[in-house]
Amino acid sequence: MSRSESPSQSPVVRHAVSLLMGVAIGVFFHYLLFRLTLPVAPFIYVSF
Amino acid sequence: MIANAAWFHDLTAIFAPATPEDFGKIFDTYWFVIFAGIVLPAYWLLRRPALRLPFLALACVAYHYHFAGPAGMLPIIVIGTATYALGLTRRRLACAAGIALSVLALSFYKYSHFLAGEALGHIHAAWGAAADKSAGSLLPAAPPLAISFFAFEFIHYLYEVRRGAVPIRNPLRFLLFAIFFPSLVAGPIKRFTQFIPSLEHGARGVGVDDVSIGLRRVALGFLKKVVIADNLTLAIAFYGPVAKFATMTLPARWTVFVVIALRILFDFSGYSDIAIGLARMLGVKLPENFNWPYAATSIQEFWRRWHMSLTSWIRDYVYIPLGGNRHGIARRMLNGLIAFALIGLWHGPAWHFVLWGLYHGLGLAVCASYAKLPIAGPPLSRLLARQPIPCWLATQAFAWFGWLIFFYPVVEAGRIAGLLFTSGA
Amino acid sequence: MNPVEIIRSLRAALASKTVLLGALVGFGGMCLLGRQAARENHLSPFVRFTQWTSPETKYYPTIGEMTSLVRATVRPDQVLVVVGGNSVLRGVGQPVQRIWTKALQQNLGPGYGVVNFAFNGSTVTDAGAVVAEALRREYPRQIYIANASPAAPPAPAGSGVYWFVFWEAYYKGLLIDDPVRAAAIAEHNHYDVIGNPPGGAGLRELKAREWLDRLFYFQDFWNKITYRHVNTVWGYYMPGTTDFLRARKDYPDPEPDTLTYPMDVRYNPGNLAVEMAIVRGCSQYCYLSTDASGHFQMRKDASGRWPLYAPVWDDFAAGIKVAMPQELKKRTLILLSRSSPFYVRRLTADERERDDLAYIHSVAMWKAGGYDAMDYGKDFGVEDYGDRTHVTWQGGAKLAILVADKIREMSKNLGYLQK
Repeated sequence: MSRSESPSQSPVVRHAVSLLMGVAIGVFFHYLLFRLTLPVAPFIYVSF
Repeated sequence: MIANAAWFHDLTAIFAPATPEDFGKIFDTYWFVIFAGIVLPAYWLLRRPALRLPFLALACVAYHYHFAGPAGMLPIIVIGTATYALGLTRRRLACAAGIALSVLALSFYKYSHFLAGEALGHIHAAWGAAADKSAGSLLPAAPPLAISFFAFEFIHYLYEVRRGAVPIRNPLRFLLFAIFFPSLVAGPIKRFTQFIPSLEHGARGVGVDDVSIGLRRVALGFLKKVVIADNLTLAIAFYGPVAKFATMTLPARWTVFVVIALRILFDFSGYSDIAIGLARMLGVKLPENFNWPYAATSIQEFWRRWHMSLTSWIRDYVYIPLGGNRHGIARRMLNGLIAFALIGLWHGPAWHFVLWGLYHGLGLAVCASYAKLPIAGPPLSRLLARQPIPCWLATQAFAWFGWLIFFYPVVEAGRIAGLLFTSGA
Repeated sequence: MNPVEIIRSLRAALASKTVLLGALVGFGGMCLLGRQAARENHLSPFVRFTQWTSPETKYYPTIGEMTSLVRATVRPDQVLVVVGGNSVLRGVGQPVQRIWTKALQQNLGPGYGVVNFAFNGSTVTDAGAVVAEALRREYPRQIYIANASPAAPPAPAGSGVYWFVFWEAYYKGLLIDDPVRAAAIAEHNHYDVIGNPPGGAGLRELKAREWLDRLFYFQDFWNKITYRHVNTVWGYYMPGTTDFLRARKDYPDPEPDTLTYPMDVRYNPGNLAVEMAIVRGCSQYCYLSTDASGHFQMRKDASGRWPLYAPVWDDFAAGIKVAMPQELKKRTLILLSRSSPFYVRRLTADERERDDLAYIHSVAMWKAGGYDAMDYGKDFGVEDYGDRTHVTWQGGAKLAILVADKIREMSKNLGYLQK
């Protein structure tokens, strides 16, 4: 994977943003486990 | 004694096939969470391709079995094996026979009642009824899961082999092409010439980047599907029915109209994102399915951005074989209409799906040809080329009104459309 | 650069390993927060569960929520009284300030701590029963109350709408390992698993969810968020508004005061026939005989007595036996609530006798099964009921007196009152 396109982006910022993004994803997956519970009628995939 | 143990019961229950009411919920089930939680780390830890691919194949078989059940697996095993064997011969006739087999299987499993009742039945009621009845006695309770995707991928495979492409010799790789679990139930529709190399590349060297990018994609997909689309679905279920719709204020009706269009995009593209993300976490790249379709400024562009794996399939294996645009405008329009009717029909065995397809086919035909109208065509075309926003509005309005035909019976769709322009009932 | 290119370059700039590390940290952190949330009481102030805190609006209370509430409101030196059961004990028709369990607490005094964990449509083995069982070590001096219909065998634990409470407690190791109960549950679920949906796939998914919750504690944390801060599942929760984001704690307890309803609203004349059929039905199949061709004969026998229909009572006895572990039965009080006298009065004398028999016999059967039981409502007035089964707050006040006496008696017999 190529490094940052913008040379002015420091590694600290890059890792901070990456960490935050990761934490957000982790938090979201935790919420997702909760949300899977709640029933919603399935959609059109049934007919496939 | 073992069979009485709670753990054995739980274990068999884990692998037991899902029941019909499960269909439709695949990625958004706890079974899948546990499945992915086991399969993905195991795949990463088995560092060698010689271990990874067989393991992945086993996982795909377990996944297919769980969601399709033995009744759903058997037809796929039969057709898949036939496709593989016929492909190996590299003979044109054998490949054609295999294509016919998939077409017949798809027609039989998914469209028997439709063809018997709706098509034949309108020509001759008694024959239609008899055909419907005999089909009913032969058909399983539900069509084999994802029969549409299987048929399309097998047809693509044999068509390309018939044209000279090298068939997949390795049965393990063919099995993985056939039942690759990320895209098994809801696409995207794969092309084997890209898939197999990607699969091998992933098995050799799936890396941290793949996992990270894939994970982000999966998260995005679930955000679109579970957080946004599922909520929109609940709202539509409440506000959507015409009786309720008629009691609402005009702004509220337009809100529901927008919500209907947003829901299908987020639901479908969300599922595709999850599929693409999961594959990426295995180091495999699947074709994209959606590319900001609601940004399209023409109907042609819309169809280059919406459900791309399906439209490109229809283009390559229906439109172009029928002649494409090589035989003049009239033929081109006809081919286009056939292609779109099939796109519609692919979504389900019902006339309103065909109607939706034809609606888009006609729109596309107009869009593609109006510039060639005598006198008015070229200046109109030049004028519109400089007006992206009106073009965008017109395109999206066309597409979004099309969703009414897709989701509601025709009469109701008409009523809803009408109610968008009057504030009364 | 256009927006697409900006997004692309931002995406390319992300450091993969750091993203994955962040994901692990984020998810792991949430699990810890979840465990913490399971030990806090966030349901305050709490009187009873309402539709906003029940599956009716997609809110699934957790064991952690309910046990934390108990710990926060009942001292270890108090006798814990968990009120389970259905809408009758939840106080439908009683405004929250005058709910019968408040009167019960007042009657019992500070030596007891009463919590109302009744849910609409809940059964003897549901919800409140599970909570009481889970708290048996922290609150060994406890009484569990539920209501039941005459001759109705209790539903197996872990079935029905509130099955999630049982299975959550099961996977968190909070329940007694009772083979008799386990066998009954397995048999009940067997029919579902071998291919009669609903139940098979639904149960499997439910079990998977609760097993995952034991690892990741997602239900407690996000329930807390939903209750205290923001709801994230669309629903038409409050007619007249599309505001679905409102926190559940901000919805008022909607229970009307049926004491203010005139009689013809409480006992709608148009429904008389239907209600009478239901009232008759309480005892109809308990006392009958079959003639030579197998038809039911719903009348007294030659000696002028109502004949016991054994299959119903055998089923009932069998259900009582397996409903809960033996050691919990003696601290369980089953209330059999009689129908409103408005309808009972309209039965024939023989039917009234049969109805009475059903209640008395049911109480006796529960007691024979090791539980404690009592019926109520026989000497209540028409005005004490808000409809056929639910009492008004005044009827609830009367009930509270009866139940308080019974609880004191049970506490004495169970040795709870020894210093």
